[in-house]
Amino acid sequence: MNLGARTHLFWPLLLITAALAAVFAAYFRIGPPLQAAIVFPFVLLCPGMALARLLPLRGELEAWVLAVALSLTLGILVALAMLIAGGWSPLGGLTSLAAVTLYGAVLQLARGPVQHRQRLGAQSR
Amino acid sequence: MNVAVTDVRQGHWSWPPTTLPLVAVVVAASLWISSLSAIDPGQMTDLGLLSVLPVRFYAGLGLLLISACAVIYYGRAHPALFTLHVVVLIGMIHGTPAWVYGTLRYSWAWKHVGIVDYIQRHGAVDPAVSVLPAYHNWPGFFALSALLTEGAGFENPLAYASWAPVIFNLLNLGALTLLLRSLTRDRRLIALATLLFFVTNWVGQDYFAPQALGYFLHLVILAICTTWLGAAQPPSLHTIRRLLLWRRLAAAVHAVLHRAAATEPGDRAAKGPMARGWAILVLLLFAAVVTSHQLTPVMTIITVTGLVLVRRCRDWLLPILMVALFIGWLATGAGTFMTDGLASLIASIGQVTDHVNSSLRDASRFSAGQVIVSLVVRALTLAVWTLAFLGAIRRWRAGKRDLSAWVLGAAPFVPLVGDSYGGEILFRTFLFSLPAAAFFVAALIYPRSRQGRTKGAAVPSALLSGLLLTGFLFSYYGKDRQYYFTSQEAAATVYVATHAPPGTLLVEGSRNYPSQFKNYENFIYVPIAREPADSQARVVADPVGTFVRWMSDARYNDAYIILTRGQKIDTESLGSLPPGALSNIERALRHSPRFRVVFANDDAVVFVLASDKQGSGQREVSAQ
Repeated sequence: MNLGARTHLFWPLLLITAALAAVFAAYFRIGPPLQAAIVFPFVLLCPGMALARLLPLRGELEAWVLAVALSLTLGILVALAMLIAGGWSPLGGLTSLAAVTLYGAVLQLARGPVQHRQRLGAQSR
Repeated sequence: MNVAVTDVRQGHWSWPPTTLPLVAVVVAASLWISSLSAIDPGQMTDLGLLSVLPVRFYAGLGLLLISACAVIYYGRAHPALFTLHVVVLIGMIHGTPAWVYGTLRYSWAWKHVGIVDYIQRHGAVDPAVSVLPAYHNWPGFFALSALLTEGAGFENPLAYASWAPVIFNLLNLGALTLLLRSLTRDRRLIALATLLFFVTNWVGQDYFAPQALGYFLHLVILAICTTWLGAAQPPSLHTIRRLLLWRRLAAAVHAVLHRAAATEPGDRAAKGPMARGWAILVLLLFAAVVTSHQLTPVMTIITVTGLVLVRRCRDWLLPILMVALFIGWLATGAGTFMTDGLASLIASIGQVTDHVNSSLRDASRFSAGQVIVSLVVRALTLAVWTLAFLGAIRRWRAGKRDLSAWVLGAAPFVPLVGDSYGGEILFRTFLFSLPAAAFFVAALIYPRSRQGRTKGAAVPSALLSGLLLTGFLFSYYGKDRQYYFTSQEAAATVYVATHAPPGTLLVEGSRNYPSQFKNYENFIYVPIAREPADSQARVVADPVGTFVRWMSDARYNDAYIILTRGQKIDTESLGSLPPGALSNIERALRHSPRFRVVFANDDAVVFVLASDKQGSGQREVSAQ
């Protein structure tokens, strides 16, 4: 497996792991600080990173800023939807965000190394 | 973050590109960390946290600032090195209170914890609630916080809310960098503007609050609009003449638009389906803003509209859709609040002078230290705007039109026409105009890419940054004697919150204490410091008689009086009650057989009527 393929797999696999870990930690209530150490980075970064890395960006700064902004936005919208629907469930909210994260991660995997090479090419300009 | 600083000159003496600045950062951070144990917030004077910061804290800040300005000027250090300077700066300024205080800073942050507590208990919001209704009508931030808190296994946001200023400022660092990159390619200008932003942002809307989140999303939206949705083709002279009948004006506007298009970055603008994708992303982020904060959507709409009008954002449909989203939320999610407040909002439109004056408190009753802080705040604000104007002129004369930056700087002044925003509109205007203001202030030093070839550019930038930082420290830390609360004060609130039934009257010395963070909706709040003058006079003259009347009212299921250290400091500093009033009231209540103490510690006391058995039939509890 060449460096490009390994690099391409890093984020999708990390995102999938983070999503599953967050839902697991919340479902089994493993308790802080470990539960917080898993859930906080997941909610604040992962759903957005799963989608942001599908965009034509130049550099990690753009990816991270857009990822956090998107994650906060998705978190707000999911939480609001629960409030409005009268079905408040933090576990349900985390599961929804995990679903978005898994969707984005799978898309990144499916798009494959071709898009990753294009992004690396954009970063080198 | 990689703010690459392109090299612009060969110095007369060599500057190790990485080693010396790195050593400076390490030394500065070491000075800071070593100073933390020496800071005793309980010893703060009327000048706030400034009065208890050791000399080595200031030495570390000064060293950091000089090193950052040198890194910018010489431009041969690794790009990440400047980022490290700013990250450490943010840690020093915003991490110090979080580390040293041990409790959540600022009374409004505690109230926001209370809204999250409400959502955690009820799984819903109540737009018709009588206390703090605005938060229930714009609940986005609080809903997210409740999700995070429970998802992480915490009992409440107090576990992490103290660190919100550090987190939000780090987020703003990233967003601001993206935004500034869309204004200029000169990396020295970007870097110095970034540094100046963080040494002038005294407004303090970076705490655990919807405004902090809204502001970050606002910056990201603007960055997207000016980067991926930017660089629209300016209209032709013929088109402009049809809109502006005066030929000379039309020619001037045409020249400015084309000059801006030629000099501002625009190589990232997306086209076709990708542009629509970015627009959808903007609307998604805006939806989060609309549901979380009242003022930020207004600022965002006005700014994006301005960018469209000067053709620095190509999507003319975007402001229209944003207005639709905004009105949609006002009519639905915030409908209850708008029904009650719309009449007063309409009546206040156009009262610019009143709105400005409402932001400028009458300092004649302030304590001496707070008068100094108030004057420094006003001086710093005026200085930044004045320097920004001068920098904008210097850029214009250097051939740069900077239309995007002009819009970013001017648009936040428009809401001054609409509403006073609870007396805070002037400071919010400063906050939202600050990215552009910092850009233009930096342009005084680096007006164009080839400027700053002499040694003189490093020294003025360091001096300017140092002066502005001095003003910032007074402005940001100057009220911390009021903003700092002890755990004992919080314990008093917990006692009342866990013993009082719904419909309880809670008489407070002032609102400045850890209040409303638990079961907040159970209380009817009466802060003595906010009573009308005649009512205050009656309380001060006869506290026992007045409170017996209030607390015997059959409308209330129970009644408490809570007096704390923070309330006394607040009323003394701001002159909202006569000097010593709260201490005198406490003494009178303690000596009166008509009241008894149900909770007391070194920093707070809670009274009930001696005849009152319901809900407060507890012996006196002395807490740790």
